[in-house]
Amino acid sequence: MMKMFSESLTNKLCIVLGTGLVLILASRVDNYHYDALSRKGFFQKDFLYRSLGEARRLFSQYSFMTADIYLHGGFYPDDYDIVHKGTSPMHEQNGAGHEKHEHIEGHEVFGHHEHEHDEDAEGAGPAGGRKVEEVAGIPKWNILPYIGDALHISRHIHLHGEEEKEVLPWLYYAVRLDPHNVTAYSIGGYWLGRRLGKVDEAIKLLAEGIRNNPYAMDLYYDIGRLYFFEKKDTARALIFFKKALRLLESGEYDRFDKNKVYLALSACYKNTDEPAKAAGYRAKVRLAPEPGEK
Amino acid sequence: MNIIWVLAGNTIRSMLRKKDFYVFFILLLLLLFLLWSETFFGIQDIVRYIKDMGYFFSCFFSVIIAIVFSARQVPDEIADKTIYPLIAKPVSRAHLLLGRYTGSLLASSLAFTLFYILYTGVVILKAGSLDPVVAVQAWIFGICSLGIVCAVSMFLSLCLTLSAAVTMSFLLYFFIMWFSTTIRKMIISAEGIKIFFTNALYYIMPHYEFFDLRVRIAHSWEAVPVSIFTAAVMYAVIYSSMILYFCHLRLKKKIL
Amino acid sequence: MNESILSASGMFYTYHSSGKKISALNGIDLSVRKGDIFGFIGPNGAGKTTTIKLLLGILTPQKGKIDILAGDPSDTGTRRKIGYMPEIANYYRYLTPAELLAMYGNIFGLNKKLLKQKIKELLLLVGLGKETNRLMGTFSKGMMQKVSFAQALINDPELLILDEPTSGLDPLARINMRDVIKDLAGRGKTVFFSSHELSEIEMICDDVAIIKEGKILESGKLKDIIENKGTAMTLEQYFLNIMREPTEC
Repeated sequence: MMKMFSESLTNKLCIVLGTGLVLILASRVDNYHYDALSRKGFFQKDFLYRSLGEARRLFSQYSFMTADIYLHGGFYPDDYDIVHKGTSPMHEQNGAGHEKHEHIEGHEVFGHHEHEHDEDAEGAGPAGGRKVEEVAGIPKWNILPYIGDALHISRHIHLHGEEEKEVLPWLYYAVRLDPHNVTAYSIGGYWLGRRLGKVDEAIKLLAEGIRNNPYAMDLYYDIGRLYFFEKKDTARALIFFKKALRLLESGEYDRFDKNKVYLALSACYKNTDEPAKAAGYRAKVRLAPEPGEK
Repeated sequence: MNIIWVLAGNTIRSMLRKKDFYVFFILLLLLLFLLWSETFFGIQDIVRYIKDMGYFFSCFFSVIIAIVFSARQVPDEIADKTIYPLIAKPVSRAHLLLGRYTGSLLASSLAFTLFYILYTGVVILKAGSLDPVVAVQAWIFGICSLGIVCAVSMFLSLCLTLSAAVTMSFLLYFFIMWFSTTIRKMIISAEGIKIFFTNALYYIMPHYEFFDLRVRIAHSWEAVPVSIFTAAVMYAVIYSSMILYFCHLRLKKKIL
Repeated sequence: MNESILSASGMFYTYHSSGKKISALNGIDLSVRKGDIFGFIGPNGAGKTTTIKLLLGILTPQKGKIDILAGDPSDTGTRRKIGYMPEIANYYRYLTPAELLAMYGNIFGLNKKLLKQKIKELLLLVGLGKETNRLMGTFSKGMMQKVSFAQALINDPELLILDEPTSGLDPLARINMRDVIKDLAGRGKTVFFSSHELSEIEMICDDVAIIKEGKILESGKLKDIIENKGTAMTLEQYFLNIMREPTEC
């Protein structure tokens, strides 16, 4: 009976892995013509999508988180990590620190920073960095934890330049597995359009995001931004910003979301030589929310 | 020593004649081909996910072979009664244990090496290069990890039924890979009596995660310092030896 | 008188199973002389296989002493001179008979060239000359039994311990095996074998021991045991009579 089980264990593993492989292969065959320039887009209800069921949302979130981890060189710091100051080989190769990121022309108009991370915080880690630095390190005599800590990557870095494309596979799978993952579409559009210069692909991705999520204001804003800054097409940008405004007014959005749309519209009307409208939207920008507002 | 090598050779032969290894090799080949052929948003030369996932699958398939193979060695011998003509010869139980362990380790290491060669070939084709120092360290670490996996699986197979031993081995492997970093962080922040318990747990559990260089390989981090590398390899040898000693104590008591 | 090659005195062995104690052997005394063919017979569950396992050092008696070839059976050096054929002939199904014999030969540290020659001879001897390179997974029970006998002879042992050697063999193969055993004894080897085939025991054995419920009922020269009762009877008849007598507690 042991022998029967041990033989069937291999058989079972073969069946499970083989089935998974068939599903993946089948989806590849099914979608071989869906490439970056396809009108069909990245999200398909293929075998992979159907076979995972609702669990695909978990995988989509996992993929999105992995993209973030990839952006940080495979390590995402938390409060307990000891952050080492210093540079990684990538920093040395690209010659870039936080402070050397390129600022896209005109971004000051929108008033917000390109990066979510503090530019001065080279090597300091996430919020609570001071707390991390106060935690004692592991002494050498406690050999096993010391070895574990020494082997563990714990430096906070970002990918730069061409290396930023490495996050794309995970963003691709995030939207592939969950067409309602608006954040993944938005972030994907950002990296493709604004960091890697693949504006057409970014627009296609965001357009698909809009098709699957017609009430996602952020996606209209992102696509409008691409038309405004990258394509220099104010007319098209205005269409999307107006749509964003309509969604803004009909939905519950906070002051930051409103500000960015108002600023975008203001910039567009400035370009279309409508100073009154531009000033009007500029005037709507507030630093603090109104009483009762989010 | 000769007896150990004879038994080890027999174990390797059994792996090559059973189909497990070939199944995983073909699966890995297909997976690597899929990863290699995928393009994203029309951009070529995206390599980290291949380095990451390829390395993961190479290690994972080797671990499956190691666990399933090593857990079967002694229970199969006893169940099939092939142990009797063996230990009636000048083969002690220690010889049997070491011979089967060595064979399992060599067999799974051979599988891992072949998987790894395939993986590095694909990565070099796609990426153009791979840090040779990190690559060699990852290979050696992979074998060290398999050494511990084989020892732990063998020990569990002597304490539990075969299916329970295999299941526990997998559960333990995934638990360690996912939670050992958290336990280490608990040691840093522990106070009072908790320091003792967290450290005791940390020292008892097998540290498979030491030998996972996926992040270094995939994200082009620098190689492991020589002193730490040596210490980790020594840990693998010492830990495996300890587990094998417990296996021997267990097998000695077993009535055949 | 030949020297004693195997002697066991006062052997006790108890199995512990699910909290219960099963007394397998209750004070076994055995003595086997060099060059003899010793038959060990008894009903099912009498303790034959347990006795053999104790003689091979697979089990350790709770009480008693075993002396084989002037050594302890748990010593690997002693086992170098013993050949064992188990009751159930199970070997690695992914090996050929040649590979199996080579593996066992390598365990004994035999010279490679001589080993190759020996494997050929042994397989011819047991009638498997044509099956040298066939995987044992495709073998019948009888063929496995022949392989089992061949592996017991690989190290040219001084003492052969055979547990039901002719089980599953066709009549020709049985005759062949009996001839081989007699030939081995003629060359000074000692054969200790247990069997349910009493006619075979009667044909080839010099000495015999009868075991029942962990106790030796009779032991000594076969001729003396059968003729002692006065009337001429076969071993089978004698065995049945002795089995029907109640055993002393």
